[in-house]
Amino acid sequence: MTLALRGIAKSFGAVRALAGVDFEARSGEVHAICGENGAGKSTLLKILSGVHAPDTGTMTLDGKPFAPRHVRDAERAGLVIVHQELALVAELSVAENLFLGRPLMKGWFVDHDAMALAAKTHLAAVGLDVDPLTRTGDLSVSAQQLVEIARALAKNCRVLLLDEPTAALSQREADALLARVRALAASGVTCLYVSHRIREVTAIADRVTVLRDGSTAATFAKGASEAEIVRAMIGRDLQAFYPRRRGERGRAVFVAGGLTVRDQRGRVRFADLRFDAYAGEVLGIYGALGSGRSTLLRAMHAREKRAVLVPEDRRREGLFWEQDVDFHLGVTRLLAMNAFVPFDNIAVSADNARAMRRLQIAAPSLATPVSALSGGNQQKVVLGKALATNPELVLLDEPTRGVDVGAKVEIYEWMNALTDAGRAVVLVSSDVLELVGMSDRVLVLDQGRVRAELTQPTQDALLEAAHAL
Amino acid sequence: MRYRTLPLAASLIALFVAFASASESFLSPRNLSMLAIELSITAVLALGMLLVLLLGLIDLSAGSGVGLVGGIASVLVFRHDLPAGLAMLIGALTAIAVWAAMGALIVRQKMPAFIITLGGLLVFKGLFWLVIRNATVPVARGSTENALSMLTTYFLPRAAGFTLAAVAVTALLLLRMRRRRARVAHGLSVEDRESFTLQLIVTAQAALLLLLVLDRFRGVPVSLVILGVAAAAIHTLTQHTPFGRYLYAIGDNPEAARLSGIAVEKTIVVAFAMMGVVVALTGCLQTAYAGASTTTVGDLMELDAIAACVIGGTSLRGGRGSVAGVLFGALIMATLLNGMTLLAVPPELKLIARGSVLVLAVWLDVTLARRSARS
Repeated sequence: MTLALRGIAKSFGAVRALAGVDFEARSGEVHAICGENGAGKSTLLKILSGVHAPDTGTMTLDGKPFAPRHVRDAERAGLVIVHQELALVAELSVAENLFLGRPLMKGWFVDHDAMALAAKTHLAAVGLDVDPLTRTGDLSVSAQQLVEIARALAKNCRVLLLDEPTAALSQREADALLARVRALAASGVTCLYVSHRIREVTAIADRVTVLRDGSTAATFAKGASEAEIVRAMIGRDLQAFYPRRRGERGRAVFVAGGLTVRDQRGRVRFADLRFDAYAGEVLGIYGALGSGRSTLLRAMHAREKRAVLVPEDRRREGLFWEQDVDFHLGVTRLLAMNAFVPFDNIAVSADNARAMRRLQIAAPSLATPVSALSGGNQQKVVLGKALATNPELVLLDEPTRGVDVGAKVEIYEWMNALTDAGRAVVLVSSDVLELVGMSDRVLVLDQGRVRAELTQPTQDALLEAAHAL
Repeated sequence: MRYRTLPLAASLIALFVAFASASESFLSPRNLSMLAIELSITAVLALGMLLVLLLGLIDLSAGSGVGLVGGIASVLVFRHDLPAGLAMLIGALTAIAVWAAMGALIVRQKMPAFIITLGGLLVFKGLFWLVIRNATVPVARGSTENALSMLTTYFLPRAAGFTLAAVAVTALLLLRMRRRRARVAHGLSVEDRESFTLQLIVTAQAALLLLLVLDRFRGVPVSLVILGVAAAAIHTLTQHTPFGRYLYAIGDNPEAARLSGIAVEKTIVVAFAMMGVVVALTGCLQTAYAGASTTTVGDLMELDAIAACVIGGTSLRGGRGSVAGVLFGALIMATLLNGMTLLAVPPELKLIARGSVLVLAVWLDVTLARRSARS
């Protein structure tokens, strides 16, 4: 089936998420969609699956108008999305998950035998050899990924859309999955592949469409170089984009001399870690998803009193959704006061008003609820909340995720300002370019150890170190 | 509050009109004075409930606690001849210890507040009945008065009432004007002069009207003064102390609060201990109002308190709510209960009405929250 998009645009309030997306994915091809965080990938997916309707533009499937009003609409037309966060019910069997929402019935009851039988065929189509009656939560993440794809195929899917399918997989598992996707495409399914892993994309895709700032920046045929694609994604010179100013390295602010880190369930994630974080330096930490990099930051935060943590998921861990900008910028400064003595909240608000201007938070007023701000401004509020206490060690976990390009650069400039002021910054990012662009030194984590330390980080050196694992 | 003020004011006026037309005595000075006392009791408990709801937690045991503390105080006074003040103090210390313990169970054992306090609802009721031995225990002997019984029977002398009201209103107006000037001086946004002045005038007039109505019966009831002090204290606590701001932070997003360095567990335990104080105060007030501790004192009061909070814009998910809203919600609940009692509505219908109002309030909250999220 051929999926074609013409001039798709979508705004949310004042925020323009998509400004004009055009591309065409043909039957039997693997078509990759790349873009930086905030380029509009997730909005595009939501439009394709019928969660949002585009403001303008047309979509067609094999020439017929395609305007899904909800997910089922899209699926009936033959387009199914497999999301990054798996939508499987861990407690149900594989067969039940394959037929979730439309179980096979015998009279008034669920027909488990018929489903198990039918499931075998669907699982065979993705090359997954497991008992359909297995509890889904007992499967590995990569096997669950295949169950998701099998479920899509069971819905008679002609256009399969995979959103970051390898994000949680090891290299070997990812390779196996990619081979499976190629086989599906060969059998005539149109495969759309959303990823920010450039290596993977150049290896698997027949064509690559790059989104930037909500528009199609370019479409490349097979054989395009990684550098070409990256340039199209960023749209400017790398050097100017990552304005890191190296300064004088000061004393060690955080010393891990044999640090053991346990996760929330008490399992040891890191044993005998040895590294230092220095004043005036940005220390980058690289690790695959699930390598425990966030757990490590949390452990550092818990051990060091003068540390602040800017968490990865700002909605769940950083923001107080119902509260306004004033609340956020002031709340951490209250920690130094006696909790039961009334404070001068007018003076605090006046300081917050100055901080809002200094941080260039684009909000109508201090009393604007943070839920009404754009992702970039929300992130600035989270940073403002963390920095209000004047910390010695600043731990940044994916600080630019879902942030528009302009705000990104501002956040990078803050990192420069922090190190200029003699603070130590630790940066965790899954964006390799950002990590090498902004870090003075990078640690590569794998399986509970520091596998490599790059004192002159470059993209190639980092990828080499990461792939040598 | 913007979306709520109008529907709330409308329903309050509708209640007043309906009850006034159904019963001549509803607007009588005597009944309005009784309403003021009942409002004080409902509102004090609701103000405590606000502290718990702001955290995103709930206290279902408050009503049973009200009965228990009133029972302890009455028994100590009536059967053991303790001075009323000491009896109330013992009741209050018991409540503080018990509520702090419930808070500690919630944070240490990670048990849901819903279950802990649901257990408390039954346990405290059982303890209550044990304490009073299923009997009726008057709050004072014979026709004497003591500090406990006077909580709802004492009215301030005329001059004292007027002076106190004048001082309170003047202080409120001066405070608000000073804050406004300070905000202007710091270049912060303020509401425009007309609506600010209008608010001050309306506040002063409402206070004057209330005073005149109360004066036609026996004057300002002391319970209303208690409510005033409690409201001022909880308003200051929630809006002007770090502890109060932490309540909002924790209720809004406990994980973010923890990562920001807020002592989440300590705050929850302290808030529950404060709820213990409020339960004790309400227990003494409600038992005094009933004249005696009987097995039904405090029944379902936790639900009235929750309803008052939610009507006044407090979110059951935590992080949103204000003292002004709670006072308004309590006024609606107290009016509803007072009017139904006056009209001799049968108890079965009263139960149905209370339940319906609770559900309606939550529905209104959800709907209005959705509407304001959209705008």
